[in-house]
Amino acid sequence: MIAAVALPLGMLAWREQAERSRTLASGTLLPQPRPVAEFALTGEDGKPFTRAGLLGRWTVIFVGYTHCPDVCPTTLSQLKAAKAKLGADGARLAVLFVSVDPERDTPDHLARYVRYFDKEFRAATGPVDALAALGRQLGFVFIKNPAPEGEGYGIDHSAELMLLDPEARLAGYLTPPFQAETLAADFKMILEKQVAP
Amino acid sequence: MKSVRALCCASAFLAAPIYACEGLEIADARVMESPPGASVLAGFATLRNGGDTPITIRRADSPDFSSVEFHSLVRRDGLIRMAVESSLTVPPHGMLAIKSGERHLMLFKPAKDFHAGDRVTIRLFCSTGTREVKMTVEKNG
Repeated sequence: MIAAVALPLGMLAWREQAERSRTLASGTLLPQPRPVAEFALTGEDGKPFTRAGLLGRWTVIFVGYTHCPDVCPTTLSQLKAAKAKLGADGARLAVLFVSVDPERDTPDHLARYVRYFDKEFRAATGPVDALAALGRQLGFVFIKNPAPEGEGYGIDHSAELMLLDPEARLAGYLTPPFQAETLAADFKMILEKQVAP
Repeated sequence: MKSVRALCCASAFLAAPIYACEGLEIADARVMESPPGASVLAGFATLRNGGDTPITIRRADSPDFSSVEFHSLVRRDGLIRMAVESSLTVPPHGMLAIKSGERHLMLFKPAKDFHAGDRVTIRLFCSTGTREVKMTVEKNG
């Protein structure tokens, strides 16, 4: 309730600041946060993961798949390190790994995967259509890339991190290559500007 | 600076001739630890060629994985694309970095969950024979 009252004031300050500087050390803030419509995915706990799961905290979203041997584990490790640098404030930032490989990434598998990096990380996936629709909203893409000479298949995917504000609006993007220090500085700036519940 | 380790391996592989991959030096050979049950791991190393002719590694395998591929990463239009390379070439008196974000040894289906400190064996097949490399499993980050 307190948060609901404090939020508009926080938002004013945030917008004022955003007008002056829309640039983060490792990315860009949108001039105007963009609302995200309802979506239906499944979380790593096997329960529905919808827009409501994004409310109340800042969320950083990374798109990938667990069969990705380098970029995905590296990015998740950097996110863990960046979050750790925030200390207690780290709890105000949620990390969501969206798997674009529903065929192989079952909820159980996703749970083991993200918890290896950080027990607080969440993961979600869903039907390809639902993922593509969310991608159109958030600006990520993915393309299944069969490897005729190799084993299985790979998935080409967007490398940006997406920032969503506590009202589940797309607020900006962070672009690779990432470093834990600059990520942490960006997260700190975002959290300082917005009073999350 | 990371210390140089897991250099070379004179003992190599019983059947391999002693001059296998002559001139090839392998430094900083490591595998990233992955979550339990991971189906793929990534291997990295720095390859140097001290000789006058290019060294081409045509394939690799491992007793610890079902198969090994050479993968490169290409970032274009915001997308990360993983491509299979048929071989690796180390230029004369030059080097080839197999490093995170650019290129990796794709290690499929580990025989078990490997943890930081474990060592895995990778065999590189050059035109002159087989070179065995021990790679240390390291924590990510």
